[in-house]
Amino acid sequence: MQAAADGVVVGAMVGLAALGLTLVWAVERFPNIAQGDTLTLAAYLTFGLSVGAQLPIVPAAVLAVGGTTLAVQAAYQTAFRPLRTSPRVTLLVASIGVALVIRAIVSLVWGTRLQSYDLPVRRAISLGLFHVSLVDIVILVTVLGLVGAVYWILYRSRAGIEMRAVADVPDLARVTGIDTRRVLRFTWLLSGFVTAVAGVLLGAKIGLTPLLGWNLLLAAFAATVLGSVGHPLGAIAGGFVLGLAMELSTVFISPTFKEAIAFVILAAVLLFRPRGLLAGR
Amino acid sequence: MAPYLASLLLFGGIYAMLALGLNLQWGHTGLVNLGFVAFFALGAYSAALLTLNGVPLLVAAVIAVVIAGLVAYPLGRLTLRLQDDYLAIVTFGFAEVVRILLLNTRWVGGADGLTGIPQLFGPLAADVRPFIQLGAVLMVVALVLVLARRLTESPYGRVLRAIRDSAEAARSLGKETEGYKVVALVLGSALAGLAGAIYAHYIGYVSPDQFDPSLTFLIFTGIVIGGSSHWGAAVGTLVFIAAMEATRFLGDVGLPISQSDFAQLRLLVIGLLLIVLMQRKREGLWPYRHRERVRVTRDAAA
Amino acid sequence: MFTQATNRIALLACAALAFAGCAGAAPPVGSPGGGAATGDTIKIGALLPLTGDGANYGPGMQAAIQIAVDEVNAAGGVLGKQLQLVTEDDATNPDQGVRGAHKLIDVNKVNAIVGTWASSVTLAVTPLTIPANIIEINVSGSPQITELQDNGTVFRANATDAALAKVVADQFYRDGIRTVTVISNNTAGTIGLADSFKTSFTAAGGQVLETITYAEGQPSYRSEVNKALATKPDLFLVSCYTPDGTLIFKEAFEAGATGKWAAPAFCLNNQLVEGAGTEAVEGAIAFDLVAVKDSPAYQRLNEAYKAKTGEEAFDNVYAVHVYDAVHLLALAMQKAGSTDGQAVGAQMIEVSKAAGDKVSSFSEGAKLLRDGGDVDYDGASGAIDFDQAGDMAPYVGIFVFKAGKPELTQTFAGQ
Repeated sequence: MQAAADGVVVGAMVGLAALGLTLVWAVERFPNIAQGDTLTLAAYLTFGLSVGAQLPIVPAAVLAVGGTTLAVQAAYQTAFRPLRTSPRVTLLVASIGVALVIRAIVSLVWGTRLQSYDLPVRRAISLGLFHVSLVDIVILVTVLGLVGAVYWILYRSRAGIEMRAVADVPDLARVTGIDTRRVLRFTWLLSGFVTAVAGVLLGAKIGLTPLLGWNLLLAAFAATVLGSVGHPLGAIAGGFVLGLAMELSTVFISPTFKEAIAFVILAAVLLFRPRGLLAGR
Repeated sequence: MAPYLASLLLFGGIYAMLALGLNLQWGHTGLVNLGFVAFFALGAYSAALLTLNGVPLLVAAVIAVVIAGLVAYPLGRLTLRLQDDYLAIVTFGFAEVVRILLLNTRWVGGADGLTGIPQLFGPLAADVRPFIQLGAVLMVVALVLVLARRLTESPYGRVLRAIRDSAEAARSLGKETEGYKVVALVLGSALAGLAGAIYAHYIGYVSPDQFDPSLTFLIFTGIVIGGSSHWGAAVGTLVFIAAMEATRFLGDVGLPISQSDFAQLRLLVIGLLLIVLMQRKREGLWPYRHRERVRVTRDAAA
Repeated sequence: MFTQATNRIALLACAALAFAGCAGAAPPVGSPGGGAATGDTIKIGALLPLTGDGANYGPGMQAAIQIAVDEVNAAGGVLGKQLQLVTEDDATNPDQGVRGAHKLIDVNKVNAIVGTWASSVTLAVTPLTIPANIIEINVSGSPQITELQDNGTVFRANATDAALAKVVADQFYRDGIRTVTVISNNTAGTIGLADSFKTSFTAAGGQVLETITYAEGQPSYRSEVNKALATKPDLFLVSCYTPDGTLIFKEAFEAGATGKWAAPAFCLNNQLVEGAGTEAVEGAIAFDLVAVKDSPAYQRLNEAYKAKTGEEAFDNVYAVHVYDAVHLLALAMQKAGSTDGQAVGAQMIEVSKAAGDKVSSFSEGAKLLRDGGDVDYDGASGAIDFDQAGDMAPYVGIFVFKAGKPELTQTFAGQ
């Protein structure tokens, strides 16, 4: 039971990391390697503003989310937008470049040793069969809130509907008069925002090193694909499936294999549903 | 300086071999294999285990090539129905599974890895050995380059490119695309196995740390910089690794920052270099174009 | 097409070479192989994990090496020559380590390489340093390093996992601990400690209930922690590095863990306390070689280290080790009267041995050596004694965390 609760929490963290990824992936059609380091940037900005500049944690987090969203937009405008007609692997390589630049800047400004926000560590809250910590609850609530908001934007707002149109059939979308450039700009804004929020929370949970986000990247990729690229619900669902599989597997085999288990599950699912869990819905 | 350049070129040569293999899969067939490093690892480990147990290097290398190719076959059969992105992530995961298994298997050294692997041309004196090794590696690279070119200029190669450009069109012409893709995957992976065997007997030590995903990204980057002709892939990779290493020398001229900051600055420079290069040379320095056009017109004439 | 491509390559190659060539046009020093030191400086190469998984420690090690080099130079240098430090990043990756080492050896012509941290990097780099006949001093844990055929040129400025584990296992048993559950990071250094602990503790009469290994860089270690908690041992031993150890201590505390916890001090230090909270480490036991916080060498280093990095040297025991490594290296070169790897290697053992007069700084030691005396360097990390295999006898300190501060409770002289 406790393992299942842990799986949900880990799943929520992976899902958070995957949410911003799946949006850009669907529209731009490449897995953005810089996603991981964007998470890292948000966490370090929060750290810098709260511990460094002595702001209270909440305004620091809000400013960090804003700053990271802007940074992602800047990366899009300078590194990715000029490549919109290039092969997708070119974008992938450019995103490696962006990842290295972010990581180097973070390391230069804040150093490479482990850092933490100045938050109290408390005993977890027991809920009968299992226990969860306060940060876990915040993460879970945020995941549900974010995915709800993103879902609403994608399916109810005009910008979101245009986004999905571009993701599904780019040429048709252009013909029908959708301003692709604006849609792309919006996609990167939304993805940047979601990723920033995720990064702030993950920083609180995991602690800060320059490899914070990079370490989560592989799991986030897997969750995105498992839940079908472009489906915000899928990213979260994929995260939960992987998180549960990883944590429950530790009951039976050594935890050092848990990442391997995640990929075996992924491969197994894709054999039966080659486009992920939520494709075609 | 000379032994340093020899070692740099040796690394470059081994990476160029990897690039030729990956380019066969990606540049010529359109398969995004993000788990390419796994086959390099399989080649390195199997060759090392064999020579450590007294098998002659040449035999070990052949077996390593076969093992890498054999593992690629079922993986290809199972996964090639997947779309690009999905294939990329499944192969990425496959490489991680291989790395985790190596890390947790004590008889292949576990986290410690395998030490004392015999050197390529070990009996030669230490001051000439690097140059002989380099010569041998460059000869193998040249040979692979020629073979790869013959392969892709053959009718078979044209089918591969047709698949890359449009799998459906190729299928409508009666080509069973999956079989062709599997062969490209197997050949490219076998080449990675060969590179692995050479690498293990050059560096003399293998451990799971050497086979993390960043190596796959490095090779992809080299190909994208060089362009997807065989020549471009090989040389692009060499140029990229040389540029990466050249940034080390910036530290020797005495910058007014600490050495630890310089290491970060070096990452920053490499990152910026990648971003700028992608924008300047969208299709790489040596794209696969010219020769192709000649072919097409000749075919049309015939 | 071919000629065009060839031209382009020639151009690029020239550019790359010119770049490498002009920047690397250091004056040629020494004979090929880096044996003798001609020129007016002795070059020391630092090969450190400045990026990658080891980056939590690398920059601090760099600072400590620089401090030691500055001290040696201020005392007049070695054999009348100043030490010159050349640093390369190994990115905690064997391939990058090998390329960095090639540059240090072949281009910079260093007389020694100090600081490799990951066992995999050390094991990949020693095949280069041994034939080049230069000293290699690492801080890695893997037992394989002991077995290298190195002509006495490879030294480990750190306890071997086996030696450290034996001292700690025996002490735990004496303290009445009978059952231990080990949680270990799956890297060569940490898993080695876990395995050695199990061997020693079992031999002492105790029982290791379970060894739980985990992979680095996970977002959470709750399942590992829960699995460990379920075994209810007398003591939990966490064989970790600081980034993952912090998360484990925090999650164990959140999960309501009580009981005794222990971890090596390269993991459990003030940094970890900052991240996991004071309460989570209350009463936890840290152990490592930094046994002599009141030694003059440690105090000197700590003052300079604080000024440079703003942190306690205790928070990065590897920094303390490499500080000593540079001192021993400088004294050994002074005593050998040359920079030849094998000659210096033999003296590395001599200047660490208890036979000579105790010194705790290079200036004292160099003076004694010039007067024809014998020295025994007692450093910031204890009374170091190298054996013939280049390993150190463990002078272990055991610390207990009280109110977030480590208190030294016991020290052990090595055997």
